[in-house]
Amino acid sequence: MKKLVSILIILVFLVSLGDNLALAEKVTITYWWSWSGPMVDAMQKMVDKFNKTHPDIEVKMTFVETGAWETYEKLQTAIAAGAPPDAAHFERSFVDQWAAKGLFLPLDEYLTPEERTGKDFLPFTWDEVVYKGKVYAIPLDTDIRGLLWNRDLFEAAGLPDRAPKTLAELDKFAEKLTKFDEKGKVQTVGFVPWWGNWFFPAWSWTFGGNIADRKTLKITANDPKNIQALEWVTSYAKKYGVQAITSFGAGFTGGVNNPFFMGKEGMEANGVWMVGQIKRYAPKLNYDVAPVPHPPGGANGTWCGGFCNIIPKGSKHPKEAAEFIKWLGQEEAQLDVYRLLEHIPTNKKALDKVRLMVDPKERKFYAQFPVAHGRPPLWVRIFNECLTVVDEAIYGKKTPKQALDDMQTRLEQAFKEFFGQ
Amino acid sequence: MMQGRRKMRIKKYSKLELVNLRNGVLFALPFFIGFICFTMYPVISSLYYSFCKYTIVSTPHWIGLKNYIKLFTEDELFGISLYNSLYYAIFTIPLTIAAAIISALLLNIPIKGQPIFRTIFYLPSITPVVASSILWVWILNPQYGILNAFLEKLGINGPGWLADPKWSKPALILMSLWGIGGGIIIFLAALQDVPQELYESAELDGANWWNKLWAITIPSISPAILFTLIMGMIGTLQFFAPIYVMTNGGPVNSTTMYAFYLYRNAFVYLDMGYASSMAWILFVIVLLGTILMFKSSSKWVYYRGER
Repeated sequence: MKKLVSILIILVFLVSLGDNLALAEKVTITYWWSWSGPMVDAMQKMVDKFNKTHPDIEVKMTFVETGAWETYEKLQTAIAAGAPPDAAHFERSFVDQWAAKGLFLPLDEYLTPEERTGKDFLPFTWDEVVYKGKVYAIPLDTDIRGLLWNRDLFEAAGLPDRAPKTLAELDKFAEKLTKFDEKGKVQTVGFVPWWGNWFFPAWSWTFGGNIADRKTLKITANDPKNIQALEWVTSYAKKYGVQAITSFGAGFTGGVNNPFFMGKEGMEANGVWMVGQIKRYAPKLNYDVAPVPHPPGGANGTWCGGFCNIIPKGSKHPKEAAEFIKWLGQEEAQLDVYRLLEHIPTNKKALDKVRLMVDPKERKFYAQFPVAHGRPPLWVRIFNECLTVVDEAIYGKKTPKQALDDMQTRLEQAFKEFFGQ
Repeated sequence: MMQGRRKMRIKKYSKLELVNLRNGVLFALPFFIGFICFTMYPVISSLYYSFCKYTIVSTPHWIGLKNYIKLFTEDELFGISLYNSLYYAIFTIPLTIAAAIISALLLNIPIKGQPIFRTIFYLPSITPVVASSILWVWILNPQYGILNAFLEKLGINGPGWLADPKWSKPALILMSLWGIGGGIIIFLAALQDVPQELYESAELDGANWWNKLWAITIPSISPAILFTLIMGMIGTLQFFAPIYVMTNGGPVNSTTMYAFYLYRNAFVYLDMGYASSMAWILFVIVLLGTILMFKSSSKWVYYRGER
């Protein structure tokens, strides 16, 4: 019996020693991925490639669901509990917010001075991962927006076979395209400024304004140009009747059930992903793509979203995790972002190659990258506030000026609390 | 006297009783440990956090009453969300209770196929919230929805429902009738306990259906009404998931209800302290409401066998 016990003890000792030796050779890091469905398999392929080329690091990927609008409750609680993954996939526009709350590790010590400049990436995607001079994430993918217009509806309405070139022309075309039935219900709508995937911050840029500046954190929500933009948005509600438009729009619940796909909407400001969706769900749709026009003194208001990878506070292997997320930002992996995830790379070299591979309509979106906007700071807050402000204006609860003045006050308060100044 | 009682108590515990006591405590212990760790501790902590600036990872930073002061003086949306929730509760609770009682009375009539009818009425309650919410988005659709199509048959031009800030709350209230299955079961069970002899003697006295309902049935099931009233208040004030799925609080914040705004503050804006103070205000409201209902219950709730 005594012998048996001592043998067992020696065995246990040997096994644990072996374990330690193996650990010294290979570091296993955990990675949380947040896109569901086929994206899980696609990302696993990228992780496998990393594991194959990095014998000293083993990345274990787990799909961890987020709430709607990317509320990362699980990541938040995992960080709070001191047991976060070593790296995680994350909505890039929230990086400043989470970094300000101390939820992420700065990456600076794992980056070379050259890497710290972010010169390999689209500049607005890099701006979003830097907070108070420190780098908190590596960009993964991006997207871009433009105006989709239905050529058949244009022809039927007696319009020229081209997209509107000025905002005044957009208004005129929209009016010609909008059709009501005998009961006064909308049958076809020309254009609705608050539909699609454009949103008020983009109208603010279109009119030459800005909601908040990322570098100075200065809020300019009630800038006269923004008031002008909101007045213009509201003019559509006044002209066609907000009830008529929303009743018509409530029939389209989003996704595939989109009025533009069904030939019920002349023009829509939406994202580049629509090209792929239309190929799949409305292959016969005769449409084209153009930049959203702007008034004199304004600018192209297109903006880009996208995700990144971060290292949470409490990560056990930040060095190896940094190597992994940096690798995902390199040209070769970024080409896979297009080939496997079917998203747009943020690495400029990869983007230049992808540009040549994509559908000509997608390329028309891509042409706007040099003038595209990143998202303003504290985006989720600004985004929600802008939805409210547009609602208040189009439903006539507040004048555009009043709504924006109120938003200015609320944002100033929120920024003060968040960024502490 | 005191001494005598104490003596008696010591004497009273036999060996068997002591063993039973120990076993009883041991059996109850898992619950108490779980309750203290997973309910009491978080609840007490949230009270502390409600006086703090707390962002989950950083150490909570005591700021006194600032969260509460901000809620009551600066936060416009706090008032709107509280109003929306109270509006929803005040209309939903009586409506769902009345509908559940009426349905229970009908389902209590002994006819052929009674179990099938009962199943059908309960079925919506087991539908997942997200699925039924999406279904209701379609029912309430202003242009193609079945509800407005029906109203049009009656010659009424249906409203915009969820697309109209004036009708979005009534639409959600209407939708709450979908989930009365749980209430029906409670009232059906209560109806089985109404003593039949009361009906018989009332019939002898010439009471009609209406008299019997008001004088016998309703008083007899009044404890069940009190229960559904309190549970209804708690449930409606925490109303959340359908908003999350259907409206995202819009249009014009007309469906931004209390729990939804609380969630947004906690998990979207990462302000746990602020969200905790909102939670405690809700707790106080629910507590006061419950006390009020219990206090008033002596006037209208009838427990059989009680003098």
